[in-house]
Amino acid sequence: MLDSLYTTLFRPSEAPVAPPLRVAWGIWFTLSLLEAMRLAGVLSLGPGGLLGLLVLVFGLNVLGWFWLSASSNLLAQLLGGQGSGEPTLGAIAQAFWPLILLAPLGAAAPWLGLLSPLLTFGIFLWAYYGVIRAISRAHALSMGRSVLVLVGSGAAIGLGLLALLLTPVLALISALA
Amino acid sequence: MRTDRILAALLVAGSLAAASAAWLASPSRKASLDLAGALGEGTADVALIDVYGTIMDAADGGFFGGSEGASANRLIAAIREAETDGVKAILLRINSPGGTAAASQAVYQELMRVRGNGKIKVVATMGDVAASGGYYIAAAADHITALPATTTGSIGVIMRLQNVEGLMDKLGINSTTVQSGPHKDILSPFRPSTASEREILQAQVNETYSQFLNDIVAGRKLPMEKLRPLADGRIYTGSQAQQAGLVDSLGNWRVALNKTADLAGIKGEPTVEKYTGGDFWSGIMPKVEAKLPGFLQGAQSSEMPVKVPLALME
Repeated sequence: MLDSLYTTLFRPSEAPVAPPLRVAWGIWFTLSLLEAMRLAGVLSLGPGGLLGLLVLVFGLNVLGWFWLSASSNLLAQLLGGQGSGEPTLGAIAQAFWPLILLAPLGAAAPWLGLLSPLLTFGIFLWAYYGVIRAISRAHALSMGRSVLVLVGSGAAIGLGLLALLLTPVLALISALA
Repeated sequence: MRTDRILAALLVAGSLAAASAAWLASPSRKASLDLAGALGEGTADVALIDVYGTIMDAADGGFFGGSEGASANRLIAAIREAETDGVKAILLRINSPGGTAAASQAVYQELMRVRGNGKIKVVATMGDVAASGGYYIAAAADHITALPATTTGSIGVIMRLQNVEGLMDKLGINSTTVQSGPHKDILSPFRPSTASEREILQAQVNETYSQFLNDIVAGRKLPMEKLRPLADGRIYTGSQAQQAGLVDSLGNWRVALNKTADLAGIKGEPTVEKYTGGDFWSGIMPKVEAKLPGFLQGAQSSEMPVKVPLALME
């Protein structure tokens, strides 16, 4: 896991194409723990609240990871990709390592002023560039096609969320009609 | 270990330290009933303290939370914390059949100390039961509210002794005691108690009972001659207790909250902060224990301690 972190941040070309799934789970646990601690600080929660948040954030992160990986894998294969599901899962998890920097950035935010949101934006851009690169490497696709995969996956996730939100509304409307 | 691994480990450790610092540096993390309290915006007007279960001098349960009953230590800590926070009033929500004499007395004394300072009003509201030790604690309040069907009273002290000598004989078990003085095994269940032992125990029960009555007189400003006939150990409904002067008014805890606000001179809706419970483990552990009996054996116990014979409950 430490090798995966170091190479992703400092030597991207040497980073494994797809780390084992246990490493991927470790990445999400670490990122979820940091995010839960940040949120617990914002909401002034105690250890119990932190534990509840950790479960919630970890669950949502894993859900998002599975969803993004599944849709990316499907779209990449439709565009001629050679990879499969498991390497895609590992590659995408590894690409999110830069988000670990949000924790020290959050702690330093009071002294950074306007630089803080800019750096946050930069870290997210770095992570999404990493996802594009991960898809490209895991599926042997060009960077252009990988961008299409990520945009398509984003659209699929957006549509899925919209459907989840709209389904109960539509059901209610049809019941009332 | 390679340098790059060390650097990566340092990065993870640094990130964790930064996130921990951001979390720990956040304002109040107490369980709170109102949004203002939840966001840590100032002190609440009223400290809500739950006295639920058997009152006893229980040790904190460490990581797995305290005992299931009303730990006197935890209650005293909650009262002190509320006082330090500068609340205007304490609302005790009591649902307890009683407990040990010393533990009930300890909580009573702490409440009387706070009340004596004159800065904080204390109101008690009774739920299903507030009997014996539960009433002892309530007696320290400026005002007591009960539900008409609340079971209260049971003012008295009880000491129960067992004699399992016959059972031991049937099982063929012999017990030998080596002791430093004639009364060291005064509570031995392996032989009948002697007349002199019963005299000693009766004196102790009488003394504790006398302390109990004096404390009620002090807390309730009730004449001893009026209290003594009521304090023969019988139980009362909330309505009966009100007629007898053991309770001031009838109503649920929201009614008691309004009364608390009146007494403390709080204008508008009082902000309430809960000083007991609300902890993740104390909430979840009883459920774990229910699913896996014995899981927390030793860490938690709802039973009366076996070595404390002097109790204010039955």
